[in-house]
Amino acid sequence: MRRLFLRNDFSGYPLRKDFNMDPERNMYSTEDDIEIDTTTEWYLTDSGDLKSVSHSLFTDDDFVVNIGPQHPSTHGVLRLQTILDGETVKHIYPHLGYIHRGIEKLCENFTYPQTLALTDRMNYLSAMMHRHALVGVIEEGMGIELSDRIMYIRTIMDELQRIDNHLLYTACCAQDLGALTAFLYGMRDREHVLNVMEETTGGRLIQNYYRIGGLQADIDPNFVSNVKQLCKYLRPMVQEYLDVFGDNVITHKRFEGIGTMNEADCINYGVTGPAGRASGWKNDVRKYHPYAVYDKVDFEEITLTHGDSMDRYYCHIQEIYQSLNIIEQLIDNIPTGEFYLKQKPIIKVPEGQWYFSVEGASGEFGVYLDSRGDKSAYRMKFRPMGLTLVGAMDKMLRGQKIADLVTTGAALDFVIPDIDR
Amino acid sequence: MENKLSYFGEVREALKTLSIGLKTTIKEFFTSKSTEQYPENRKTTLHIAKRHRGRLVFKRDENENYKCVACLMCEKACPNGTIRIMHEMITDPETGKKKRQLIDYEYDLGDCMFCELCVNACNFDAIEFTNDFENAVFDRSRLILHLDKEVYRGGSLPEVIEGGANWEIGTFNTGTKTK
Repeated sequence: MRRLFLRNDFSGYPLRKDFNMDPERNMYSTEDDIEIDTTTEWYLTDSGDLKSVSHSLFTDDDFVVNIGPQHPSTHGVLRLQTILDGETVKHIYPHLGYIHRGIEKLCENFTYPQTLALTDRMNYLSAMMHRHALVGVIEEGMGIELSDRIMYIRTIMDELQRIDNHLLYTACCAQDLGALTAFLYGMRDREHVLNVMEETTGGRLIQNYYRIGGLQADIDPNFVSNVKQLCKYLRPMVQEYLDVFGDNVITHKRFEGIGTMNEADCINYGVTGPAGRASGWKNDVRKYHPYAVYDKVDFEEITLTHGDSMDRYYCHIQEIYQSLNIIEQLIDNIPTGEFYLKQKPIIKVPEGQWYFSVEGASGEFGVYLDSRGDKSAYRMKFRPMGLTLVGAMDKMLRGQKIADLVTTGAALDFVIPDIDR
Repeated sequence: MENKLSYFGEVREALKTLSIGLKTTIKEFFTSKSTEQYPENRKTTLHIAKRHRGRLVFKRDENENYKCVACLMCEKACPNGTIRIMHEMITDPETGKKKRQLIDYEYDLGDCMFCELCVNACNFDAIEFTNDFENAVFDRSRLILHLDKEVYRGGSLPEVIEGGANWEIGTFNTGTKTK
């Protein structure tokens, strides 16, 4: 066991209720964080004693290269401590927590509406879905029945956000492989998606649109026509990314057979989302635990067979088409009704535990809420999408070349603030 | 993907994909540009969504009176402690009832994370966000705003408050002249 998020010299366990939160005792140290090269394994002996044994992360003659935390292709501050044998990767130790903000602990001190402000800042490319999960778990706890209009708009917004994420993903895949042109095409079209969302939500990255009991504001008058125009514009453009990058022979040579993970391992490592579906694991939360109006729309769950980086890329591309299909089915039929159901000024959730998960852009995103009947949560746990993906990188890349680490990272689609929380 | 092509067949397929890519870039070379000329288009073709959250302002009626009654709901709702309200109790000389009076509404733009919780918490419809986004200043202390003392008239770009220039999905306002 190693510390994932906190410093090595941190003492205590902040999520325990007996942790002393006195600011005087928890001053941030300006000393260097001395990194320990060992990891501790705990086990029970036959007589029931807890024993620990220390393992070394690497031996003296291992060649260790740090990739990150400031490496551009790690998409943020992620450090992958890589043990190399020549060019071949022997082992990867991810070091996380460079932007750990303690969102789960913060949520315990915030009131329920205040916690909403934090989820958008986790995976900012799935801001809508994150909020959907948090709002969903609180509404489930309070037993709020939403109107059809709210659920329709939420579904459309989730799918717009998914398109936004997938466009950025396909663009960044190209960027990490050195194809700047394809990157710019993706970013250009993402701008139109953001414009559509901004007219209604008022945000481009941090959306702040859902709230407990409905939506922040009604859709803007041009929303329906804008979305229709966007769908019309976007469909031919997706083929363009394939033409310029996805179907290119160089991309195929770099992506095929790289970072392969079979279905069984994907399930073992919890690799959800498009990365898992590329290996054939049917794990789409929208299909198997429908929320909002996903049970009423007709869409296909994309599953591919190879489980390599190329299939992950194609899975994202085909999901853009599916998202467009969903939006086109819903956009003409938004029912009239309330966009916000008035709640009490102080929101309290009755005692109990709830879990609500949504299909984020790169995996399942879940929120677990333990409420003791107060106006703030007793425990709020987020299941991030990227953490399991980074955890699986070691397995995917063992025995492959170091240059493929960047490609695999690009094709996995993780966002660091989401991992670090 | 099963590869059943001969060596030269593979080369031919590879060249085909490369030429498709080149064809696409050539096609894009002749389509219209997508760069908006920001500082130049400020007063002409700039479009900022009306709902964009740029900064917090007091809503004022035609006599420039604000509606804030210093109930402190927004201060309590803010996760960051961005809003600080000073108030005093004054007695109405006619009715003898005690009433809260706002002395100072301090809003720290530098701390704000634009989550709109204060607007949601307000029961008197006294505050709102505007799309005034040109908030850069040279000194951090100038970000601390006193909303009751200022009368907001649209900031640096009053013509953009309602959204600015028209714009259409799939296009960019690349010019700097109004049509």
